[in-house]
Amino acid sequence: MAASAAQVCLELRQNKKFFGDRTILRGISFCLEVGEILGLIGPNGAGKTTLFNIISGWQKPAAGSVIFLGQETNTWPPERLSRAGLARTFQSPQIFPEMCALENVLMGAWLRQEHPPLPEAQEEAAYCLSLVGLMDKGQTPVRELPLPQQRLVELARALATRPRLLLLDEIAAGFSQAALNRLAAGLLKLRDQGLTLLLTDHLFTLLEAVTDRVLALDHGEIIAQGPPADLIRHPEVISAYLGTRYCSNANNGGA
Amino acid sequence: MGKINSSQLAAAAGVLLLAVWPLIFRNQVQFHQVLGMTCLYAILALAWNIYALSGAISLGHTAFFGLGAYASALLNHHYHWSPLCTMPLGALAAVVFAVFWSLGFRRLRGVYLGLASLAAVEIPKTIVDNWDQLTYGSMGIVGLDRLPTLTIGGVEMDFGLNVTAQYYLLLGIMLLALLLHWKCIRSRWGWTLRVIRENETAAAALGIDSNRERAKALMLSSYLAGIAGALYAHIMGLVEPALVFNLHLSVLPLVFSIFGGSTMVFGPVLGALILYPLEQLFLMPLFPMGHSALYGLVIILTIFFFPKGIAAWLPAPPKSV
Repeated sequence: MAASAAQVCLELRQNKKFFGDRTILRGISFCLEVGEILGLIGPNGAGKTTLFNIISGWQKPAAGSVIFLGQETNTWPPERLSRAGLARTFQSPQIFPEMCALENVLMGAWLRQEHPPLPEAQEEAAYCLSLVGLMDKGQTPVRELPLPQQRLVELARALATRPRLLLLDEIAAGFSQAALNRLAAGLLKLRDQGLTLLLTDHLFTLLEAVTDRVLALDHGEIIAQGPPADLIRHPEVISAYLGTRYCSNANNGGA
Repeated sequence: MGKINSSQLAAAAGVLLLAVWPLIFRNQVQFHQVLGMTCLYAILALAWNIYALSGAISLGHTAFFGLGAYASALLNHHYHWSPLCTMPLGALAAVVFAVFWSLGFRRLRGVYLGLASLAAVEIPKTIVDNWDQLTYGSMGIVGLDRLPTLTIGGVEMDFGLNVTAQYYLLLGIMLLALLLHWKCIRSRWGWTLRVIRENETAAAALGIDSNRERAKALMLSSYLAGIAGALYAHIMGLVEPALVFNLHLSVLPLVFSIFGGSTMVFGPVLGALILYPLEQLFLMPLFPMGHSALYGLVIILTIFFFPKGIAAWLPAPPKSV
């Protein structure tokens, strides 16, 4: 947390969330610096999506605060956060089903608050679609695309809004290794252009390839954090993912 | 100037036909009257559809129609203002109701919004029905000033009593409403409404406030429906709660829009132009007993085979986006 205020993109302080009697988040705090790629891992039910929803305004924290680009955004609705520069994708892709892939992306470019002229937005949409490698699918109705490609369209649309922070919720689910490699290269390129990224995925290969740091979440709290190569050997992380039986194997170098 | 495409050509031909046919069939006054009312209901259908573009299905647009009719009638009856003044002012009553509607129903979607809108009609209807000193209750108000006579380009147009002149007035207003509807679909805002209609979650992720945009659409829609109601009041020369707050007037624009194609620029107008004359001029005289059943059958078959509406048959305009 040594980053100065000007470099901090997102900060969470003691975020808590309850659903009825169940505690979903038990005081999550972390800081995300501008230009950093932070990964978030954890088994199902660890609270990853809830945390994403809180950061992007879809849910309100029961306690604690979310600070995005220096402003407390706890009570902001998602559309306000989006206008402030926070874009996200969803676990089940949220697309405009009656539009083609290019139109989907165009909506991100054309309807953003700066209201760019249509030709400029069209050019940008085509560029964003080419970034995710789907230029040849531009005119395909998006509902006819397989799920992984719908996720890429959603990613391209999020990029077309020119975000400062991008949240990717299990974007690589169902990707082939080749597609995964392309995605990883693309994300690193985006980071080099100044984008800050927070992503969650079950595929550690993606996180290992792109993230600077990974937070491991279990039962609503951060159990470990560090570079991905270290975290994969962390006994608590292995235990949370695979159970204690595998933990001892891992310690013996057998995971 | 861009090149004229087949869609624009078809639209121009349609407008020309609508403008010229009464000059050819000068003595068919009944046709003039029916087509005049068709234009009025087409205005209501366009109004309904502007709200529907945001994905909202209203079953309560008769509230806006009735409020426009009553507000204009009351201003005319109590203050003796000209209909030219009371109609645009009276339609604002519909917008005021739309503000409360937007606030009250902001969390409702789909069938729940439809049901709430159906029930919402009872509020203005009950007030009008019971506020005897102001509205004369269920008796209604008769003897309203008719639309004035105006001289346009050296031709005297008696909009008050001449049904042919009324037809041209209603056609003109319908074309203006159509122009507004066209702007609503083809503008950046039109695409904003479309993304809300297709996926509100994704729309919010793009920074769009669905409630605010939908409320804007309703303001516009309610004003246009209010204008239609006010026109109706002064063409008929009377208003009655049962006449202007009538479920039939809520269903009619929905049927016209969906039959014609609710996502198409010409959809609501085409729906009105086909269905209303079909019923009034053919089915009713030819099948006095079973015309409603046949009317229903035509609608069901069309929607079954052409779910996107009649307008989907028209030559498609070049993609603007």
